[in-house]
Parts: sequence; C-alpha cells; structure tokens
Amino acid sequence: MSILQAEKPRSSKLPPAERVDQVDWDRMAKDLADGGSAVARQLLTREECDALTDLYPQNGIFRSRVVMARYAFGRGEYQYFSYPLPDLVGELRTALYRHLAPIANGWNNRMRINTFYPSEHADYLDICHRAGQKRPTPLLLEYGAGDYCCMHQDLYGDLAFPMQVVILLAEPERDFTGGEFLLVEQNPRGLSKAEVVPLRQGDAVAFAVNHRPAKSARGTARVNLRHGVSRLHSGHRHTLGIIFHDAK
Amino acid sequence: MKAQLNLATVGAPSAQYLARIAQYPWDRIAEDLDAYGAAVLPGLLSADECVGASELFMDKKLSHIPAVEDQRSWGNGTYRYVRYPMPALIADLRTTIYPRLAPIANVWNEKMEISERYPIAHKEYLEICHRADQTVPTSMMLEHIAGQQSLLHQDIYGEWAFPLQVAIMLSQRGADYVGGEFVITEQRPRMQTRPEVVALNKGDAVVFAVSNRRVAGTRGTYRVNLRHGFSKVREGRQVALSIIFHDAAA
Repeated sequence: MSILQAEKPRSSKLPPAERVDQVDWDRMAKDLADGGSAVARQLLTREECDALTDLYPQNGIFRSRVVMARYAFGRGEYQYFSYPLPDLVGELRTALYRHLAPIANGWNNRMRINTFYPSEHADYLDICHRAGQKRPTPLLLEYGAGDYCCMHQDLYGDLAFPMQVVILLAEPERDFTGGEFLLVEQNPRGLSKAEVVPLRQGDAVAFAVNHRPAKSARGTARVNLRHGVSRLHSGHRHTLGIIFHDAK
Repeated sequence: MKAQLNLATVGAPSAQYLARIAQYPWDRIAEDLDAYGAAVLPGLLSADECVGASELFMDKKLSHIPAVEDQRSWGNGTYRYVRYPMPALIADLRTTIYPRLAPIANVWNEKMEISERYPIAHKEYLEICHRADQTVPTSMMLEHIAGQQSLLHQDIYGEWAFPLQVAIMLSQRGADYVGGEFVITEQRPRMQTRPEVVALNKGDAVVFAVSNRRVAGTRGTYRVNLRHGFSKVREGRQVALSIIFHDAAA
C-alpha cells in the first residue's frame, strides 16, 4: 500500500524482500530443525512496523475480524487481510516462502511425507486455490492489557505449508509488558516443553505450523507443536502473521 | 551438627518471616490465583538470602539428587531435593506461607466439590501426609545453565497433594541469566490451552496451582488442569527454589 511505500525510511537501504534474502538461512534452517523456531532480527524497521500497525483500524483492506473471546481462543482480536495484500505483506510472503520451501521439503523428506512444495509461492498458491483454499490468511493481531492467545495451530484446510512467520510490530517494555510468544512441543512419550521466544520490534520468528521432524531412537519422529501468546500486563502489542497456505 | 550451625546464619528468624508474609496483600493474591492460577510475591527473599538459599544445596548433608530416570523426565537441569531436618530458611517459609494458602485452597476445594479441607497449621497437614506414609520432603532446588529447561509437569507424589505451591527465583534475569521464563499452561476442557508467563526477579516468589483449579467461564464454571516448567535458559545460570507443602511417598 502507498502508506508503506511513502514511509519507507531512508535508513533501510534495501527493500524488505531483499532484506529477507540477506537473512542467514542456513542458521535459520538449523534453528528450525533444532527447536521448531528461528528468529530473523530486525527484518522490519520501526517505521515499517508503525505503518503496518496503523493499518489495523482501516476499512476495506480486511476480509474478516475475529474477536478471540467469542471462540474461547483467548482475549484480543485479529483481522485477515483481503486480496490484494498490502505491498509490504505480499512482498514479505513471497520472499519468505522462497527460503522456507527448501527447508519444508527437507522436513517432509525426513518425516516421509510425500508432499513437495514448489519453489515459488505463486505456484503453491495455485495448488491451494485449485483445492478450494482461496481466502488469504495473512493477518494483523491486536492485543491490549489482559489479552492473550491460547496455544493453537493455524490450519485452514487439507493443504498446509508447514512453517509460518510472525513479526512483532511493537517494542517490549516501551509499548507493552508481558505478551511473550510461546511454543509448546508435545513429546509423545513424556512431558511437553515450553519455549519462550524473545522478540523485539521488527523481529520475525519462523516456526512450525503443526509438527517438525525430531531425531528418535528409530530414525525420525514427528513432534507436534502449538504456538500462543501469554497475557499482556500493560500496553498494546500488534503482530503481523504470515501464513503461506490460503484458507477454505 | 555443622550443617545445623550454618543454617542458623542463613534465614531470618521465623517471626521476621511472619511479619514479611503478613505484609503481602493476600486478598489480591487470592484474586490473582482465581483469575490466572498464579500470583507473584515480589521480594520475598533478600539478595543475601538468595545466595544463602542457593548455597544450602551445595551441602550434601542437606539435600540429595533424585534418581537419574526422574531427572531425565523432568528436564535437563540439575535438581536436588532437600532432606529432613530441613534447613531453617525452607522450613520457616513452608510454615509461614502455608497458613495464608490453606484458606484459599479450602475455597477452591469447596468450589470443585472436593470434600478435603486443609488444617490451618502446616504441622497438622504434614501429620496427615505422614499418616498416609508420605514422609519424604519434596521441596527442591533447580539449576539451569545455557540450553537447560524444566519440562511442563505437576508435582504430585501421592494421594495427598496440597493444591498450591511456591517457586522462588534465586538469580537475576538479565544479569545472571537470559531466558528461563517460568511458564504455566492451563488445559481447559474442549478448549485450547491457555499459557501464562510469570516474570520473576531475584528474590520474587510465585504461588501457583499444582494441578487443578476452578475457572468461571462465560458458560458456567469448569475445571482446568495446570502444568508448570521453566523455558530454556539461553545464557548464564539460573537457580530457583521450589517449595511444596505436601511430602512424598517414601
């Protein structure tokens, strides 16, 4: 959207999509394999984060709004963008997918899942759309004091790309307190593991949508993951969620 | 005997703990426990007491290492159980905090239609545990260094389980360690699990539900199942003290 274009700061020399290409994806792949998540620090500038946050109250750019308390998903709300996505969101989705698809294919290979993700997001979206998953899934989330999001998986049909990305648009301590991003890994034979992923404004966390491969005594097991956000104690916290499959 | 003498210098006398515990807003703590399953007691221990409490566990006469198979199932940190006779610091904290929690636990049981009621003196509750052959203390020290965490679990060691417990952070986040957040998950019937992260500074304590509590929802009340743990320490060393009010089966 033009707002984002206009507010692109001089300090960020590269366009966001090229910044995505500069991330150390070998390290990201290793962190994802080790713990189900990986962080790309300062993917977006403060100005870009603020511009995305400012989209939240706008009319005409979202297809639906969900008040979490109505569905016992938590407290707080989120809105799914309509197509066409704002330029920045669309560019990030395309650029991030290009780096995550090879990692996802490696995972499927290890988990003996017979699905191959094409290298370009447009081709993957064609597959989703042909299967009736046509509605866009990128979203903006808004949390205020006392709000939280329960542990969940963002699945919207049979087709699911196995990783997704969340970008924190607010700064901890300055804009809000509490509101930690969490992953819980379900161990099939023991206790679950909680992981808090520390994020600052503009940081992007990539994580497994529903499961990841893990070494086991007999080769590779599938470990089930869920993600959520702990209660905000004060302030406001916005995030951008980028999901690569579309919804039914 | 040497251990006993060391202990006298560690904790403040019981009367001081009583005064300290009395200063907390227990009505608000009860409200927080009802709302979130956890409540913080800021600054329960001084910096010196935190050091003293960490050192207690270096003394093998006072503590023992749990069975290796137990340790592995909890996480990959280092754990040490305290033995009887208990160090004064831990004994005093158990004795002085318990009477504040027993009335809250009794209200919870009433709401959950559990007939069990807890006596107001900890000594009497321990007598009940001991008559049921739960005679081994379960309070413990947890140590996590970089890459270590405690998995989500419940500290239940027999038929008798007091429904609230306390964890005290003995290290300072940011200075002594990074990561290592105290996490609670609350499993709700036919709904998604609610997470809670409790930020603790050195000397802060958190009171939380051992396993079940009653929650008032929009469509009536329901019972939730809680688990707690520490997320991975990313840098440094974190030491925490877990105070459990029931004893375990020998």
